[in-house]
Amino acid sequence: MGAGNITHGVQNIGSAAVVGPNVDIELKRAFTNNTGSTITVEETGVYVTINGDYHCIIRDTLTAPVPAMYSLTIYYTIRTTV
Amino acid sequence: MIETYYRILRHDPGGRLVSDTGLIPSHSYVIQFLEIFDAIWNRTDKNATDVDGAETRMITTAIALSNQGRVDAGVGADTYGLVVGTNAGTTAEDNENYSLDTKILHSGIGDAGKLNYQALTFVAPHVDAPNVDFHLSRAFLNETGVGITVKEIGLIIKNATSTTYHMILRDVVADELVGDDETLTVIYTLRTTV
Repeated sequence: MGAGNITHGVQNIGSAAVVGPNVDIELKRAFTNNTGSTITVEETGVYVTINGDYHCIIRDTLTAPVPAMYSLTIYYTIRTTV
Repeated sequence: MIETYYRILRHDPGGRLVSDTGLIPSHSYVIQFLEIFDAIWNRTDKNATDVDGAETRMITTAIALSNQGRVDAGVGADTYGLVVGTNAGTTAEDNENYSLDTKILHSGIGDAGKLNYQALTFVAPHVDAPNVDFHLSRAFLNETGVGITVKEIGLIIKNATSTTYHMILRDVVADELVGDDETLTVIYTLRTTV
């Protein structure tokens, strides 16, 4: 566990489904801080890949301190509604 | 944030603009839209409700993406791309709409109740500060001799390797009476903004 690195969990993608008045699809991923010190996450994003190339399609800034041995789980909900 | 708008313009036979709704917020992504992302992001084949109400294959992972989700309809193609209808049954917008209520079909010779569908055109995603916009537009010419009232619009995708079609957008719109020899142009604008 290199300093400043965070352990990326598996990417989970739900199915598109009707949720109340909306249709939601949820993406979530856990990140575990296995270093001995706090890591502060200040941006999140979603990358897509094709043929070995990577493109960022979503990016947000935030401030989320992750103490040593704690996990941070990021959820993105893509929602449509009439 | 993703926003979507539609705009409807009407031109007289001389090409003069008769009416323009301006940008109107669209509220009508239907479930098939997010099921596309479900399929692509999960790398999984995906069945969805098609325009006939049947559960059919919408995305097949073994087929090139360039052959799926197509809306690039040409002249006369009324099965996919931007489409318009009369909403004769007054069907309300709903997350699970899978077709227009009553689609107006294409005719190149002025058959009664039909419109002459022109090719769908794109304006590629571009920064139009403070947004990024992606425009899809299509013109519909009335050559029937009498007016036709458009009350619903939608966007249907095609899988090039099959004959199934899936609707991803539908809006019920204010009545647009398209007079004889007038042209209706519908524009969908998909917009993102920070």
